[in-house]
Amino acid sequence: MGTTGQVSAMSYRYDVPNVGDIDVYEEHDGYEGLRKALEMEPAEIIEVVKESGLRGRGGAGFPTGMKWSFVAQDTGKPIYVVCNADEGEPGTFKDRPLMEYDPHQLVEGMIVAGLALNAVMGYIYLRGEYAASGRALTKAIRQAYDKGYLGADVMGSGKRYDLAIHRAAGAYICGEETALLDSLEGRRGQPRLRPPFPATHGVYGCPTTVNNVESIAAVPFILRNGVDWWRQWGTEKSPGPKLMSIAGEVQNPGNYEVALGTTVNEMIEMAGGMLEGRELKFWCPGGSSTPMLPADKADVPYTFEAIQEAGSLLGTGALMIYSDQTSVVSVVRRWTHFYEHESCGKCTPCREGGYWLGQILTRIDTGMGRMEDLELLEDLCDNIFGRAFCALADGMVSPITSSLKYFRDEYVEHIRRGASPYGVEPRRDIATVEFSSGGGYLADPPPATPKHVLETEPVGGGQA
Amino acid sequence: MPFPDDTVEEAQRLVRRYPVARSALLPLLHLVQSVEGYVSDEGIAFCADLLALTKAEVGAVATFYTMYKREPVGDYLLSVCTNPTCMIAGGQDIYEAYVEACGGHVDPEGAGVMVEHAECLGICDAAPVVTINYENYGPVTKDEALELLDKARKGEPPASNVSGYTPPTFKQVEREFSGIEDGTDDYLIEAARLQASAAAGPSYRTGETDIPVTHPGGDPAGHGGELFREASSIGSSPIRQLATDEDREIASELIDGMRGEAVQMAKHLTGEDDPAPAPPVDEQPEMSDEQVGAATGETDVDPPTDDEEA
Repeated sequence: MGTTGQVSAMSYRYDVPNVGDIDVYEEHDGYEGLRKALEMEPAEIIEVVKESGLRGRGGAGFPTGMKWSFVAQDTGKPIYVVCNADEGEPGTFKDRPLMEYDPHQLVEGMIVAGLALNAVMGYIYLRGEYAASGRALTKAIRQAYDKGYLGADVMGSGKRYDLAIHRAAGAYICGEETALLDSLEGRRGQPRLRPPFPATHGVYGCPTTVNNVESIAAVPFILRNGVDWWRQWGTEKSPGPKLMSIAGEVQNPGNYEVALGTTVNEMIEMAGGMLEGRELKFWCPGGSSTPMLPADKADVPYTFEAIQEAGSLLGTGALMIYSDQTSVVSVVRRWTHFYEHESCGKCTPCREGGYWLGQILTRIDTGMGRMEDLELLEDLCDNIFGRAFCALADGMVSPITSSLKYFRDEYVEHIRRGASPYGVEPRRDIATVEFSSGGGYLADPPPATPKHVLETEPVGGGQA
Repeated sequence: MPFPDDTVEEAQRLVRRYPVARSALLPLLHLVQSVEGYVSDEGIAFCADLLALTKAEVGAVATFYTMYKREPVGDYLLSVCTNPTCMIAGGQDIYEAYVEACGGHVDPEGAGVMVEHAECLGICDAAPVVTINYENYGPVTKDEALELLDKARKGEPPASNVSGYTPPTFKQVEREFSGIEDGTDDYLIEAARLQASAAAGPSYRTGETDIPVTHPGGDPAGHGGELFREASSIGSSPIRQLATDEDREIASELIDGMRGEAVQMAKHLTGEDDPAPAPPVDEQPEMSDEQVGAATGETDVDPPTDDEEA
C-alpha cells in the first residue's frame, strides 16, 4: 500500500488566488495535461488512464479507462462526453468546491476526455442549484474559447471540440447516468433500460461516456505527472488520492483530500476529532446510499475493496459522522423521506415502497411504532432491493437494513419507550463550531470567512 | 403570446444550441421563469409551441423538477436543508420557523418570498444551511436565519458568507440558469449544426415513446428539421437562412432515401399541405382525411368520418 493520510494532489491549486482565471491557472501547470494529450494518440491516452487504475469517483467505482474503451468508435455518429456534475448524494460536497475554486481543472479534463474519445462535444450536466459553480465554469469555458483551447481548432491541432454547461433543475435521480441522458434530452429524468449502454447508445442515440467531475478532472493530472505519481497513493485496486467531504458531528467539517487507504479514524482526527463530549456511533462511507457502519469498523482502510469487505460501499467519498447523541431512527427516517421524494416514479417497488417505508419510520419515530414494524420494514426492503431499474431503490433501503443490522436494539427501545432512548433533542450547538468554507484545504491561512452571516458586507460578484 | 420578442429570439437561440431541439427544454423553462417568475400555463404553451411538443409533454417535464415553480415565487426563494446533517444541526427548526413566520410557504408582502425545505444542498460543512436564490448561508442559528428572512422580505439580502455573492432576484438568477448569457452561443450553434448534419446524425425520439425516430422531419424546430425542410424545399422558418450550401448538399443526400410518408409528414409539420395559418393547438379543428393520412402515414386506412362524408 502506498502512503496514506492527507495529501495535496488534485486540490493543490484550491488556495491559489484567482486560479479560476486562465492565466493564473496556466502559471500553475494548467493545460499541461492537455498539451501532453495532444502529443498522444487517442488510444494511448485511454491506455494511460487504464494503467493508472483510476476508478470512477461518482459512486460505482467503475474503472474510467475501461469505460472509455467501450465507447463505440465505428458508428459514424458523433461521440459525446458528458460530465456528471449533478452532485446530490446526501453528504457529498466534493465536486462543488472543485468547480468553484479550480474550474479550469474540469474544463481541461473535458477537453482531454474529448481527445481520447474522438468526441465532438462535451456537456457538463450541472446540478441546477449550483449557482456559484455555474458562474465559475461559465467564465472558464469562455476563456478557454477565447484562447482557442475549445472550438474549431483545439490548440492548433485541427480538431474541433465544443463544451457547454447544461444546467439541471433539481432532481437527484438525474445523477443516475441514463436518467441524466434523458434529462439532457429535455425529458423527465427517468432511467433507461440497459442494454444498450450509453457507450453505444447514449445521448441522441450516439456513443457517449458519462463520468463524474472528479474522475474527469483527474485525467490531466495523470497525463502530466505520470501513472507512478498517481499510484504512489492507495492500493493496487484503489490507487490515487480522493477528495473527501467530511461532515456531521466533527470539529472541522470540510473538504479534505486523502490518499485512498487512510482509515476513517484518521480522517476523523484530520477533521479535528468528534465534537466535545460525543463519541462516534455510526458513519456512512460515501453518502446516505451506502450502508452505515458502526464505530468499531472505523479502523478499516478507506479503499473500494476494504469498505466493501466491511459491508458497505465507498460511494462518493462523503463521510458522514454521527455521534452517540444522535438518534439513528430519526436520521434514517429523514433519509427515507429523501428517497421517497426523489424517486422518479418509474418502478413500482421504489415509488410505492418508499412511501410506505416513510410512513412506518414516521410512525416509529413519533412514538406510535409497533414491534412487528421491524419485520415489516425488513420485508418491504427485501421486496424493494434489486427490484427496480436503477440503484436509487437499493440506496433507499440501505440505511434501513444497515441500521436494523447494527442498531436493532435502539429501534426496539425506541418503540418500547415511544421516543428516542437518548432523550436528546436534535443538536443545535453545531452551528457555533468554527467554520471555514474550504475546510482542510484552506487551512493555511484560512480566508476570513465570517461565522456570523449577517455581519458580512455585500461584496457582489466577489469570490471568497 | 405574452412573451416579448426578445424572449422569443433568445428562446430560439437556446433551441439552436443543441443538435436536437428538445434538449433545450430545461434551459427554456428556466428562461420562462426569468420572465414570469414561475412556470405558468402560458409558459408551458410557449415551450410546447417552440419545440413542437404537446403541452402535456412540457407539463410533465416542468412538474418533474423541483426548481420549476408552478406558482409565483416573489423576488426571493429561501430553501432550508433538512437532510440529517443539517437536521441535527437545527435545519428542521429553521424550516418550521420560516413556515410559521410566513404563514405558509409563500409570502407576497414586500419583495415577496417563498420558503421551502430542500434536500442536501451540497455544502454540509456549513450545516445548517439556508440558501437565498441558491446562494448559500451557513452555519446559521435560528435567529440568524430569521433575520435572513426579514432582510429578504425587505429586498435586501446580505452577501453569502460562502461565495461572497449577493443573491440577485429570482428572475435574474433564473436568467443566469437558462444559460442565455453564457456568451458562447456562436460556437455552440455552429457545433450543433455540424452535429445535426453528420453522416449518421443524432437521433431523437418522438412523444414519450422509447422508439427512436431518426428522420429529421421529426425535429421541426431544430437544426435537423431545418436541414430537412431546406432539402425538400418545403416550408420556411426564420432560421432557414442559416443553412449553408454545404448543409443543403448533406440534406439532399439525406432526403434521397426519404420519400412518400416522410415527405408527407414534413409537409404536414411545416403547414405546406394547409394553406390557412394553423390555429392554436387547443382550437385545432378536426383534420381532413388528407391531413389525417399525412399525419399518421396511414393513407390506406379509411378514417372513421369517411362513410358519412361519402
